[in-house]
Amino acid sequence: MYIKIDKLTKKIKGTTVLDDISIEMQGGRVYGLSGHNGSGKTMLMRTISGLIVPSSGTVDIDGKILGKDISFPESIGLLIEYPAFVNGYTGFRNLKMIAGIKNKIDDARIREAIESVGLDPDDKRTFRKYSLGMKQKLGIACAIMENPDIIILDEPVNALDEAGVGRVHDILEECRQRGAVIIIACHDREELNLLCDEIFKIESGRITGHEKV
Amino acid sequence: MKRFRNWFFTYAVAVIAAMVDQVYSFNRLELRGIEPCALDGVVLYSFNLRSLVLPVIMVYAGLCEIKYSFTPNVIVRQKSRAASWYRQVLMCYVKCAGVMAVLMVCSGIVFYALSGRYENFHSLRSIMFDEFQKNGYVMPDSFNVPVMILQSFLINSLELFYRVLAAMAFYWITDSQVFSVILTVVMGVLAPDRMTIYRIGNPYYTGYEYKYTELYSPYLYIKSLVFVAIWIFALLFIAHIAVSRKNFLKRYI
Repeated sequence: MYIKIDKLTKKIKGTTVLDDISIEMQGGRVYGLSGHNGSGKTMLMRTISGLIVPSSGTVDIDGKILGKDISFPESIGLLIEYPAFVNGYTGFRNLKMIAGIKNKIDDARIREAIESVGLDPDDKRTFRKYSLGMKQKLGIACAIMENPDIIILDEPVNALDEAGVGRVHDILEECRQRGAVIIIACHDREELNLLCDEIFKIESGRITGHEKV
Repeated sequence: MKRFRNWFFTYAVAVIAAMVDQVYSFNRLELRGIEPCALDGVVLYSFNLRSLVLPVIMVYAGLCEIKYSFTPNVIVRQKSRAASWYRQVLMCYVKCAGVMAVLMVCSGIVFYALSGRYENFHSLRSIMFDEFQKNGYVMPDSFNVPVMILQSFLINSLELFYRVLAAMAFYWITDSQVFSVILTVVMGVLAPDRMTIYRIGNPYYTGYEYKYTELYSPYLYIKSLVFVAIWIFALLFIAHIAVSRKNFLKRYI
């Protein structure tokens, strides 16, 4: 599994939000994106996940060009900006509904994913009544439940307590070992250093730095 | 539960509004010296709400669902943008057809309860007789009632569908729920349909004189159907171009 981004540029209403980005990512590694607010981290994640169509350049996922051969990566789990679920459903029901789109996993795997982030799959509270940290955990459970080849997490440890952060580390290690490409955006440089193998620095939509941890 | 609530709300409002509206329609007809029957309710008066009231209710309920389907976790699990759009279009027609069927049944029940007649083809005071006389058609000896009902159902559901479809397409293109609902209201007022002839200053001039004749004459019926089809295909064509390059930027839910 690999992701190859070649000369990717995205303009929105005349503003260049991603500017001539070329990077390569391999399976079994964790990649970090660091940068200020509005530097283009989330936009790059949205482009890799197919939510945004590039103005020019290509995103090649395992030999398939995004937007040409495929509209969205065939196996992807993501948490971008905010965990978006139906407020009136329980955590389990929300994930079950999303899992029903591809129908690749059973209830046991959904329960396992919810438990792995430290939530109770039998919790009768609806998503509306979840705390910020619980919402974040459910978002992570949703991203990993189908064992995807690409995992994109935007600020995954936001609002999590210490135990929660530890669980995220364990989960990401598991995903790394099974060969997934993991992309994480985070403001906290220390957290990125702990989690990632390589870190890309983004400023004004451009890659301005690349270091191996 | 939320989905169920949305659609229950849609159907409940449609049914209550239809029941109230049909009682008024029935009384107006009687005041004009016409003897309505259950068939008039099913075939003609079931359409009354589909220009303005019903599309707004359906668009509201529909947009709530579209918003959910635009969340990143749902979108990236779809095959393509177009597949997601056409699935929503299909579901939209199924829901429009469902609401129209409910309205036709309710209108028929109200008209039957008030008149006690299933049909009155040969009464000199029936809507059909009055219309055929005015249009210079010879009143046929018999009618195929199920076919008439099916014809009416098809064209009414399609006329409701293209109004809701316009709002859906607009939402896909602009991401604006408020403007999509406003567009539906504008479509309800301005977009012509076969029963409401648009006149400047009086958009609700219901002077259409081929209500039954149209169902009897294949030429008139197909003409009306083609008119609706042109609207639908034009909307689908515009939407197809926009949908394939849509950027999912907003936080939808």
